[in-house]
Amino acid sequence: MADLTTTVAGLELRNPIMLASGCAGYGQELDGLLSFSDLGGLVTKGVSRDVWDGNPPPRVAETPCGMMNAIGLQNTGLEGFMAHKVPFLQGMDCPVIVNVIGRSIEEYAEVAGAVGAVDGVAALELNISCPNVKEGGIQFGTQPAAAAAVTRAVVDTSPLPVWVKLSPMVSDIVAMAKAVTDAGASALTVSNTIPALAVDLDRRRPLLGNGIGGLSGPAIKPVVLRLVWECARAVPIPIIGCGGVASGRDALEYMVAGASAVQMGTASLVEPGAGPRVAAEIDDYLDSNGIATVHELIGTLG
Amino acid sequence: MERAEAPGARDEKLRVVAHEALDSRHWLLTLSGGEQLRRFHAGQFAMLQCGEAQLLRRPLSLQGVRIVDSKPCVDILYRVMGEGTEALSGVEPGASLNVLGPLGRPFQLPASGELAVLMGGGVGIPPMVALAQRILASGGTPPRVIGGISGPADRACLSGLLQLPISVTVATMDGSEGVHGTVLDALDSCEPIGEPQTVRYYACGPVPMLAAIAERARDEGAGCQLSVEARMGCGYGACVGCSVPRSAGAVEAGAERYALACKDGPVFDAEELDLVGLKGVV
Repeated sequence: MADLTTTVAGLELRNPIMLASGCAGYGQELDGLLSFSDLGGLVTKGVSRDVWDGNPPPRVAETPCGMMNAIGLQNTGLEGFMAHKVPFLQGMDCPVIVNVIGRSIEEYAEVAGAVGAVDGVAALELNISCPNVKEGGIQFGTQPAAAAAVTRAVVDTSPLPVWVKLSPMVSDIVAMAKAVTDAGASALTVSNTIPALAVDLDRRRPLLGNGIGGLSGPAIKPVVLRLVWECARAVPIPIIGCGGVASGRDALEYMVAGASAVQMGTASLVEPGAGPRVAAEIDDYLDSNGIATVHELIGTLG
Repeated sequence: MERAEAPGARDEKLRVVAHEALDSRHWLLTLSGGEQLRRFHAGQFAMLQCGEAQLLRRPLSLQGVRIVDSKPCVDILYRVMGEGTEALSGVEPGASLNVLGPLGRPFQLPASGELAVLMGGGVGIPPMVALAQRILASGGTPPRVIGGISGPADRACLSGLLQLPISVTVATMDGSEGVHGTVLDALDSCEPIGEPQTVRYYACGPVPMLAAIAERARDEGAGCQLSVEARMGCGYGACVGCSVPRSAGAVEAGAERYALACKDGPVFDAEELDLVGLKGVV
């Protein structure tokens, strides 16, 4: 049994596997399907100030080695989150990171302030990179100055560590990483899904109701590995790798590329027990290779 | 309320006991047991791994439980619709599949003294088989059961229905068998339901069929539960992918604009749904 513990900006995780935002609901959806004590952490689905309806269906499509989604951040809003989601989250035996979304800097700050006052929340993750809504994400995720402004507003509002989830669709991810780091971010989640299109040839329409959607799953792993590697070498704060992790080896590839931890999304949706399985696979790999701690692998890519 | 008692889902590796081609595009898949799956309630479904090349599992309705070699087995009748079900149809008996279930809210059984009218269309028929069996097992009033198909190309969908220990009515759109017309045409051709018996409608099938049945129920002031389908990501509410539009009435009453087929459904009270909106999607 190797030591799987890792630390993200002061938050100690029992293993490097977290479930990614939008892929684990608010925890209660997974109740009975896995043991939360086998996870490093869980990132909630995004929480906005108001109720968001989300996009018209269909919202999901399968693609080779991946899936596309255009959910559109449907959520019950801050009031519904506090009343109906927080009680379960507070009883979960793993760190809870709340993902925050907004249409304006003020909305991000309002949600972050309220959520930051909730007992049992370990950190906030700012989603500034959802490809599926016109407002509330991507406009903050592609301009370094805008990303820095929203990050700073949230850091000033909340006592919790603030992680920022970056978009892969920028020409210079290092510029984004540096901008939000300078604005006070504690860690970076790299990355969100990749904007993409799936076509229904026979009907000559996009497969998804929203037109475009975000691509995830094994198909994007090499793309995101490159982004993680670049960010990890450019900024001093921890990087959380997120993109196509489905096995212990995938997770460790991210860690040698510089990630302190990883998040799993698509694989966990398909197989609710995938997170604990991958954590166990990391342990097996370390034992088989005589490596005592997962921590010593971080950033060792030659 | 039966809904509250439905068993929790489990992700299990289940052995394929039998896998029978009913015709060129309909298959009967029989899975061994499953501690939770075999306790499913009528209207629930499972997410099935379909092949190595398919990342996402496919949601399939559960038709019934029967004993094979003294072990309880679950029957799933499905139609090959695309790449996933095509891959599934190639799975040989003896293989094992990852199966997550049972999932979703089941049908609510009729109240004492209520007459249940069950209408299934095409691959919407199997959940009606499960519901008929459950009503009969509970000792309730035997339901009226109607299966609607387009014609001989869909006849395989009736296979479970025709094995029920009660008489059933068949409707065909091409008139090749039973009543010529829709399931509602077939209902109208049956002996009238005597007053003052209270009727509750149950249906699963194409959206236009569901809409027509919902309209009939509304006109009569009768209860009506509908089971809908949607493209799904996870099947248990985490991805929020399988949205179905709610009715204006439901939204005005405070519900969110979209419900989830996997968790809020697949069975809904008809008045909860915007069936016009749903027709544009499915």
